[in-house]
Amino acid sequence: MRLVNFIASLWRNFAGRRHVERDLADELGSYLELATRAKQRSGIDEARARSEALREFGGIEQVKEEVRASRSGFGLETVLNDARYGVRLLARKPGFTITAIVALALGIGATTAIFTIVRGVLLKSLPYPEPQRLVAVGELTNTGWLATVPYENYRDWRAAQQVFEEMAARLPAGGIINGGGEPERIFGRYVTASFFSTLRIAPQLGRFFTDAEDKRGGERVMVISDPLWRRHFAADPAVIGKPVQYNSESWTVIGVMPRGFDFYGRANDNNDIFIPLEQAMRGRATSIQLNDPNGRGYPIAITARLKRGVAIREARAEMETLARRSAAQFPQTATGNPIEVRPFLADYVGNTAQALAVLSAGVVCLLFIACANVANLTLARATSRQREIAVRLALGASRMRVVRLLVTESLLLALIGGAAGVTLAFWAVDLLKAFAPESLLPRVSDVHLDWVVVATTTLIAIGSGVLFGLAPALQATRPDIEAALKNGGRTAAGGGSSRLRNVLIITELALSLTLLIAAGLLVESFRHVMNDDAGFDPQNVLTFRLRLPDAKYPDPQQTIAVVREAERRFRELPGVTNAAIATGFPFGRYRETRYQVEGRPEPKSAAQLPSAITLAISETYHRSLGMRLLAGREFTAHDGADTPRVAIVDDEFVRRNLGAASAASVIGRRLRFEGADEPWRQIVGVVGHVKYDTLDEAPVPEIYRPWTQIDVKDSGPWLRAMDFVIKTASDPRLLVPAIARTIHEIDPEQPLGPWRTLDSLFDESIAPRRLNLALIGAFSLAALVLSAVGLYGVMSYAVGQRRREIGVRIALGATRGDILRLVVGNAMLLTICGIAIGLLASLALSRLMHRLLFGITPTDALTFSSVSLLLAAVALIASFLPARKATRVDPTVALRYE
Amino acid sequence: MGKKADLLQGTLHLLILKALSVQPLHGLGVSNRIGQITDGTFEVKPGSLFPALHRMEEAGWLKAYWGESENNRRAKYYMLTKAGRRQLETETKDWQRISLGIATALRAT
Repeated sequence: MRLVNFIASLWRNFAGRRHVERDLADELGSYLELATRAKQRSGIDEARARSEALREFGGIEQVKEEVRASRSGFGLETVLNDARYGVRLLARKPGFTITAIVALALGIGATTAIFTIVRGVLLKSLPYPEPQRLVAVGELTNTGWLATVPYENYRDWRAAQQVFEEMAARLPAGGIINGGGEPERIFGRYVTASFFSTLRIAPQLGRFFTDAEDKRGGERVMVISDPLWRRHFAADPAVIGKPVQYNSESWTVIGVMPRGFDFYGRANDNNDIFIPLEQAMRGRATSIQLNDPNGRGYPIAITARLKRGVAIREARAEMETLARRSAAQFPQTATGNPIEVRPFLADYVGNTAQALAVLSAGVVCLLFIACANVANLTLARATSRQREIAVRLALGASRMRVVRLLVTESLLLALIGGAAGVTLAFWAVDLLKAFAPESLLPRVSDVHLDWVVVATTTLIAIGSGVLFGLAPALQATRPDIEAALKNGGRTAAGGGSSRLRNVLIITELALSLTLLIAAGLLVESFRHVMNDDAGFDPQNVLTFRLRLPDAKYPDPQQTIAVVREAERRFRELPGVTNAAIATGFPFGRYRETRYQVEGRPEPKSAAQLPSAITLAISETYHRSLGMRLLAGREFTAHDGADTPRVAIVDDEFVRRNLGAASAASVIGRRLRFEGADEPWRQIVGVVGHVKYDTLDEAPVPEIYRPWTQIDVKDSGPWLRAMDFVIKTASDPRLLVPAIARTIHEIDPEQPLGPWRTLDSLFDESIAPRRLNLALIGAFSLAALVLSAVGLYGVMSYAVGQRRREIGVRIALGATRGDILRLVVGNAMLLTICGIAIGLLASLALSRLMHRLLFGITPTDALTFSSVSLLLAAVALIASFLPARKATRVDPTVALRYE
Repeated sequence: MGKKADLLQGTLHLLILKALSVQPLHGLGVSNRIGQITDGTFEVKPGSLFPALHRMEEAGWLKAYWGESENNRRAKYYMLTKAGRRQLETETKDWQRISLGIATALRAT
């Protein structure tokens, strides 16, 4: 009832405002009338009666004001009044208003955009129940990644452990699917039946497989993804129970994954199909043998769900115990790497977290700079409004009331800036999504602006409004009214307010320097990365994969013949300069294998042998990719299954294994890959090191062998999925139709593509670095501009305030140079303070970004000094303009002004 | 008229309610009636009368309507609502308790 009453009153007071006002005026009028009549009745004449009544009444407007103040919603009304006043004031000073709004829109927009990304990528929970209990388990490598463990270890651990509710293992899988639409190359995973229960997901159709089905020699069943179901089977529910051809064998589809299923990236190819892990042990038919040479099973990756109430630390301790036991029991598979248990999300987003942390720090800096800038502008304006403020205070407005008026104006600015910022953020997030695919920024396809973000932005806007509005407002309403009134608003630069201004500008400069140094470090790293020799020539190279299903090509010799024939035909196509076959290529796939060099001491366990990137190639590979031959020879067509085993190594291999020896001295030595029956291979050539993973990787030795000398025993994975690299004379994409035709002449059932050029893969590999650089670069540029504008504003203002003093100095004989030195000197003092603080902050902060750097230290002296000089130069220019204005002060005018 | 007492905070509402308990009155009528029933102890000025009337109307204790005054002038009349009567009862009881308390305290030696 109360509330209803209140709302009704509010409604009446606002909507029926005019009516209420007229009613009040009538009521007071009739009161006066009646009072006058009453006095007349006691014998006074009308005019005197009226004036007496009026005097007793005590001011109609005051009474009206008091009635208004007693009404509901009175506070709101003053706020609206203040806001109206603010709007009028802002509209009258477009220069100030636009500068402030642009600064705020930049700060708030950038903050909102980055916060949106951070929220989507790092903070939003994964689409499984209680995702915080999911962890990734693996061996911690020195690069910080989690490495796989042997399948048998996983089985032992799963049986023995007490800390996990469930554990699941997985392997990558891939092949060709037929039936339904066009033959399609798909990628998926071999998973244990516990995979589904660990993630606690339910199929949208059919069922998942069980432990009983995940057995050697079990039924061939598969679960397909929602996208594959829609894409390949036209979302037909009847697909359940239906046989499909996968790698030329018949499999039964038993279930469809839930919609929007996400496991290490929704756009991740490896989520098309899920098949029982132990099917992988059927050997030839599926290309991967779970029984690897050292007898502990194929390396698998582990996901687990912690028991409720178990901390990650406890799980790690338990896994350490179990891993030690396994290492003692099976020394041949012990790598010596520690076991690690880490949150699933951390493993999922990986390195992105640090980049996002740096970006977040960057935008917060930018927001502070924007706020400091607007605070400075507001402060300068409040000082020039001192007379108005003094009059308000003198007329009896409370300090609170005037502060409220000034803060309302700032809030108004902040909200307009915030609205512009959100618009900017919408656009920026779209732009970011376009430039940063899933491969670059995991989970980015899920990112979008939502009400949480908009609410946060509003809070940020209000917060920044208070931040930049309150200090100047308090400053301007300091209770020394008299001085202000006497001075007629021309107060000599008030000590307090100029101190606040100086603090603000120093903060701005310091933050800008920090951002600029971060950007400088990234630019330097980028330059190092780009100048570093990748070891190959990515120009005009097309790559694609040919995968020959086991069931269709059971004989390895036949496979070799088919691949050879394809290579020959490609080479004969017009426009092709060279063609090669390989089991990988730079920025594509590659594999690491452990090896042993003859004559070098053997470690205790085979798992402790060094490892190298190993590729099986055809003899034209090095030439096609423009790699340098440093010593010895390339492979020839004669190196085959029945000639002595040979290998080519890179110079990193020589450096690692033979120290300072020259490349040529390694020719003739022998090496052997890990495995019981592996033969010794003679090194016949040395090539330059090539970057296979990323441009900023730590170098790993590389060993090449002729693809025709792969032993038939493990030929499956090697021979059946061959990558082609085609070097062309001009744009390689023009040759795609001719190559597609050739492939279909050889095997009409081959799926085509994906066609990739090495150029584009090269670009992708540096894309994260480029994105970080572009963002931090943009932030720091914005910061530089904002602080330059800020410094310019402060100096112009100070010159304006000190006109009189400057006039006197000139009158007393100061030269132009003296005045220039005075003003610029002041600005430089501020700049030096800002730079000093900024350098200290950078020393502390740049360490945070060490992983994003390449080739330089986080405290690179050259970057620090050159960026400081840049900032000083910009500050000099920004202060020179007001200084020149100061030299033009005409002493007679300045003094008469007094 | 003698010495005028300042209105205690909160007593104004009670006096207005009491003044209106017999019949609806306009602003000047309320002010006259209060003077009359308090023997001239209290004089209510428009500056405090009108804000109080409006506040009490918003609280739902009074209802306002335009009517004819004794000499055929248009005037705004206020009358007690049901809630207003209840409020008068509570405030009267409260007041009696307070004044009794204070009187007892002053009598104490």
